[in-house]
Amino acid sequence: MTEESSKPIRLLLADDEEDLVTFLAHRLRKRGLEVTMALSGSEAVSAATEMKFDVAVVDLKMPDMDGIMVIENLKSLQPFIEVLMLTGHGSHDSAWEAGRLNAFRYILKPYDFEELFDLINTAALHRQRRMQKEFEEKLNELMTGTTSPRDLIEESEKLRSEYEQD
Amino acid sequence: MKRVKNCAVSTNRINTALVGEGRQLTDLLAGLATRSSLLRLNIVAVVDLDPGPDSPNLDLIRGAGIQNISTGIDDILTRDDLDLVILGSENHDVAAALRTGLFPHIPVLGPEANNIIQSAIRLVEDNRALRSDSRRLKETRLRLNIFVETAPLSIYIKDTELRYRKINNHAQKVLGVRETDVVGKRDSAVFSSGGARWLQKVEQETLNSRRTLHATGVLPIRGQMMHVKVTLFPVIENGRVEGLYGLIEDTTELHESERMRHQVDDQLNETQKYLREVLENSRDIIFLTDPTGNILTFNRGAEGSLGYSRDEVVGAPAHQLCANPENFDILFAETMREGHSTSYEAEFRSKDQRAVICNISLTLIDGPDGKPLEVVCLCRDLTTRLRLKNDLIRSERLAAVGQLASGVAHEINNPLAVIDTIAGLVEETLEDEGEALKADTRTMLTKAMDRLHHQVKRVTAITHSLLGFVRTQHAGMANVDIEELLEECLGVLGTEIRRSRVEIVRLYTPNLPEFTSDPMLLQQVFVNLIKNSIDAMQEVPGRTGILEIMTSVDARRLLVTIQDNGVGIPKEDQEKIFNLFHTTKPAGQGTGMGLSIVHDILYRLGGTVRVVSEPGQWSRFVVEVPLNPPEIPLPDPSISL
Repeated sequence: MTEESSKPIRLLLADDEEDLVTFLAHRLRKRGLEVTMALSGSEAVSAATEMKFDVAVVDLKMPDMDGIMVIENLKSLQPFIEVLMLTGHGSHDSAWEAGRLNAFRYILKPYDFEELFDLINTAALHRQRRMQKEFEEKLNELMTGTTSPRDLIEESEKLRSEYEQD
Repeated sequence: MKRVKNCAVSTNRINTALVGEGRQLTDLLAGLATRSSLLRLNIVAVVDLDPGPDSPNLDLIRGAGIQNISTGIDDILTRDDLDLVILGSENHDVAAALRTGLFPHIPVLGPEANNIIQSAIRLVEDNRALRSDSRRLKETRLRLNIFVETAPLSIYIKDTELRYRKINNHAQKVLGVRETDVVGKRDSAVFSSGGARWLQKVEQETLNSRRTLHATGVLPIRGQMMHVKVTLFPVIENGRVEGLYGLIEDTTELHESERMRHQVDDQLNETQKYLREVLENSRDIIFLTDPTGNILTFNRGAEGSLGYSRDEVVGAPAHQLCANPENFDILFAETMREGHSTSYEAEFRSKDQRAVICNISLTLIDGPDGKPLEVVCLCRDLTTRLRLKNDLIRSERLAAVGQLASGVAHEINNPLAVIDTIAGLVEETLEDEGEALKADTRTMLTKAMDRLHHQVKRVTAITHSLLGFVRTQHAGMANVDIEELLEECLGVLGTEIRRSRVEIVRLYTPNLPEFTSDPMLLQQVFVNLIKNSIDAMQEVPGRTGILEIMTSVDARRLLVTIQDNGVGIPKEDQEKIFNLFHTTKPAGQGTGMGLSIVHDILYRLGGTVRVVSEPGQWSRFVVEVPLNPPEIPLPDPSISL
């Protein structure tokens, strides 16, 4: 297990196939993940407005909302979220689109459970590092760009609270 | 002495008695008796003074109508009807006796008279013969003149100065002149044109050479050109040339029909030549055979399609070209019987043993004598068309499958994902909490879950292959280095090659040109083919697999040959292996789609793939890729999402 032991990975699982969501969530929870289930695109988006997620596993083709639109919405709500696209289709175009939207990986159904689990962990770690890097950069910017120490403390507190929510 | 009275004496004949001795009398008789009538001699008596073996034959004398025959002169001395006595003997006593005994005015001629009489007879005879000839000549001349006047031929007579002496009715009509206007004149004075110089030349030559001459030419008659044939006979009398006969035949009609015939012949030749060229240069296979089926001609199309040169096959039986000679024989027999054959699909064998599928039809041609002359064999090579048709069918099928795949795969993959997830859940639960179960139940369930996973994987392989169709879109054209590309493919398959212990033999032609194609699609082609070959070699246990990869190039195409020493492909399957879902692999090991995808990709890249195989021994796949991609993109059977 590569995730930090103290904080469980927060996972958003969105698929219109209820059986899949139920049993996959069950297995992932058994492996220690904190899973929120969504059975449609809109459910997924509304869940993302309520809480923060490290990783989202999203079916590309759901009836109410195109998977790609779901990713767009999630990314706009939570810029650091890593999305794994899940699909029964194989298409270079969709894969390329996933890449363009900065989706972490493209997974073909039926997936290998162990592979999926590893990917979720890798994605969470990736998010962690990305966030870390960005935080350090922002802080560095703040240090070099801000003249007054009071401003510096104020801004760094703001930044810290912003990132610590995640 | 007995006096002989001759009552039937004709008054206008000279009653003559012949007197002689034996032989002399015979000669005398022979000279006179037969021609006596010419001289009006009437031999009434014959006296043989010395009868002997040489004496005249009595029967002969009687036969000549001579009644009085004696051996003494006394018999004639008493006669009073004699006009003349001819003495054949030199005996003067006899002569004297006759002169004294006979009536004094009866002349007695001696032996010399015989010659005179003979001469006289000859003269008379000659004269009469001459008179008869002259009369016949006159008659002939008359008849000739009638013939000349009335014959439907143009005849004229000219003298040595070439002046007309005579011109017959027919000639007057034909030449448009009257005899009275031309006799005594030359052509120059008769015809405004001066006559035909060629004819005058030949006439002069006839006079000079004294030979009969023939000539043909054109006479201008009343403004029309008359084609004539002229025969000129010299008239020779007493060794001197007196003039000539001219015979003119109007051959205009003949000439015209001849000219027409030539024209028709020319047109016919032209048409034949044209047809020959059409046949010769046709891309169809066309050859002629004699009525026994031996090849007479072999056109360029046949040379091209079958690979034989004309010289190699002319004279050979045509059925040797066929994969099934007996079928050709049946067709040939039908043609000889019916005049033509029903159109039939036949398989020829080219020189390099390729199958050439043809639509063949035979037609019998009769000679001018009505007997079978030759058989025309017209064969349309269907091989290319059939291949294109098959390619198209395959592509259409793939297009349909592509659509089906994209629609169905998603539907199958979703429940499959659920099944697999649940299976995993059950498996995990068995591991964690299985102690509550009986040991053998637990083992059985664990095994069952393993098989469930396995079966899901099998279905997954199929659905993912189906999605392969969707994925085979143009990823983009780029310059391709074939050697590099093949090495990449071998790299992708590294694990499988190592596991199967296949030996790779690289027969790359160095410095092949780079070409423009789709490297991603080509990689898929070669990975599929090499994988297929590895699988085929796995099926022959105990034989070390050897995979040969060969590259070459010609003017237009790059060729890659992939040959394995695997299980091979049965002859009846060689056509089918590119068909979708055709597989010879054991259930679960092949989806029957790999080679279909290969075929489909190459079709779209303007290339081809062919297979040759010896069942149980080897298989060889030949991939051809155009060095320049097709300008018009071929239909993409897969759909985009």
